Amino acid sequence: MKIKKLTAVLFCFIMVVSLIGCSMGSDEKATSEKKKDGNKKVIGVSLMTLQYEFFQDIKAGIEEEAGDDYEIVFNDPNMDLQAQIDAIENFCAQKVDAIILTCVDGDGIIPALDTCEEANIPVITVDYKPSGGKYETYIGSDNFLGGQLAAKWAIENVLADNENPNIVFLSNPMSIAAVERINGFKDILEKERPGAKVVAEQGGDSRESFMSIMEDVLLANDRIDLVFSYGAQGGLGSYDAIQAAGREDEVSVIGFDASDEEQAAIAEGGCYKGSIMQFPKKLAEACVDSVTKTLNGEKIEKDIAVEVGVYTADGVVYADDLK
Amino acid sequence: MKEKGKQIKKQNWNDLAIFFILLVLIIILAIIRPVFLTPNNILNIMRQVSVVAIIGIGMSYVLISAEIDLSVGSLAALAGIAATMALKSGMGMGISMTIAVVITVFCGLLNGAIHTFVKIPSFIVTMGMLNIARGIVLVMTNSYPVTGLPDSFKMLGRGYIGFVPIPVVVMIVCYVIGYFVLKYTKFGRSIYAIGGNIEAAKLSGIPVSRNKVLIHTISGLTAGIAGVVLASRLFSGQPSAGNGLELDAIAACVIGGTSTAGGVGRLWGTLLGALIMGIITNGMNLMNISTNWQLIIQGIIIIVAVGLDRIKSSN
Repeated sequence: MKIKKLTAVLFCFIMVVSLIGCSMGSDEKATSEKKKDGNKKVIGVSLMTLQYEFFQDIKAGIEEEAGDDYEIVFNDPNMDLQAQIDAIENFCAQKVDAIILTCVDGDGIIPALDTCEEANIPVITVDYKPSGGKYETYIGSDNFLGGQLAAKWAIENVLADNENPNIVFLSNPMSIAAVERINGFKDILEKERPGAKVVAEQGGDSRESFMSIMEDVLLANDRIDLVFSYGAQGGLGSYDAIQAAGREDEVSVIGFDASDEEQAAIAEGGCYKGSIMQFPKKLAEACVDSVTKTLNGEKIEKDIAVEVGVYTADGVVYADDLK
Repeated sequence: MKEKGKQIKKQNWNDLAIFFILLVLIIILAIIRPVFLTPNNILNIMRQVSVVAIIGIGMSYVLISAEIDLSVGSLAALAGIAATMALKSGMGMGISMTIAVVITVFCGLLNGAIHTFVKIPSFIVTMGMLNIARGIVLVMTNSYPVTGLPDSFKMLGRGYIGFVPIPVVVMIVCYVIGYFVLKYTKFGRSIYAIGGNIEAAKLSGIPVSRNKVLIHTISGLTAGIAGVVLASRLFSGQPSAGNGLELDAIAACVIGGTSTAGGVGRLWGTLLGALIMGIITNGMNLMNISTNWQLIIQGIIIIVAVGLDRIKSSN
């Protein structure tokens, strides 16, 4: 009996708390509508997920760039396409002035883009290009070019005279961006170092899985010269494994993303040589800038490329710095 | 008497099936890649499976009692984040790890209490906890990993005692205790009774509610220990750590012969199950088989292993 009463009280408490939460939410909405009355334009933003630093940085960049000029409504679909489509339909229903979008899936998002077209709301896509539908522009740091840049830098600075290097690729089969990065690297590698041998190409999705993979690969191969990972998780996971195996003098790691953790690892001056750096802040700036231009009726380019660089212990190296 | 003899024989047959699978795997891999059988690689595999295997202990308890715990992966992440955040705030190693484990033990207790007293199926309660714990982790870290930890924290995940990696030592200690509790204590035996027939267990005077809460608490405990080991292995608190670990742990249990219907299970089977999964991954990595194929083969092995077990036990 006592327990039943207790649970009843608990439930009441939870309901009250969630009610307060809801009412706070509607307060926000009310203010946003008020501001809209004050001629403040509203941008709906749906990024792939907010679980990764990269998208957190884009979000922060958009907020900063928008400042007081725009009202921003964020949505976090958390890699769920259906949730993202729902969010975009909600944006259309709310009649936002523009939408900034990193789609969860390039094909699956097309119906939502059609909805936006019907509602006559301009869409700016960033980082992941939809394979169809109508959107104003695509802003991205090209993944293929990023992979190529990594290969060029690695050949110049890490492999140097080594004509027959043993290479390991760490990828994520669930991400087309990851595959493109690896393909970009391979493209340059095949041209410039035909003697290179790919001793392993494995996929994973977390730092722990990449660490395990690298432990296995290290055991299976007596000599590995270079690891190229599609992202921070793979780079750091392999770095963990290489350190634990004590083979830092032999193997070099190049990652992608240049996350804070990677930057710290690179600064240690060990075998973590570099990481491709995208500039989420620049992507965010370009997004807000494109929104402004579109709303002012200016023409913008269909593809806007934002520069990438290699983060190294000696600073950031840009594509122009390399041959 | 004759019936009993038959039962023992059946038991042996079941046990043999899993050993058989393990043996065949080892022989095949050893022939294809001799490096597989080196002591270095064997210790490497044991270290890799230690996290899943430790979680598997609590999961076995839960499954044998005919319940399920889906929250363990998120709880492991929560423990990792709690331990690393505490360390970073300047607390000692012992205290930080204790805080982490106490938090997950409390979450486990909550799972058990809500399930038992509010009468919500454990599937639902722990699914809720899965989301809550992951959410707390993301809120606490804002999705950024916790780094910049004192070097001494590496020991637990990467150090050795003699030539044995410390995670393996932790795993073995947990299994010895877990095995003893399950086999030789009143509480341990009651788990089988609860899973086998809960009404009968109640009638025979087993404190079913209390024990169910305890079972979930133990699952929280092992998830916490595994989470701290994992964080130390990664030398950082990763908000995305442990994603999907619950499924790996369940797979280890069922490959090892634990029934998801409850009442049946053995702890060393779970350890073997975890090892089988680890060996498959390791072997395919050594052979450079694409991860995409690994998933397919892992799936087949789970179904085949459990299928073999079922065929044998229905005979």
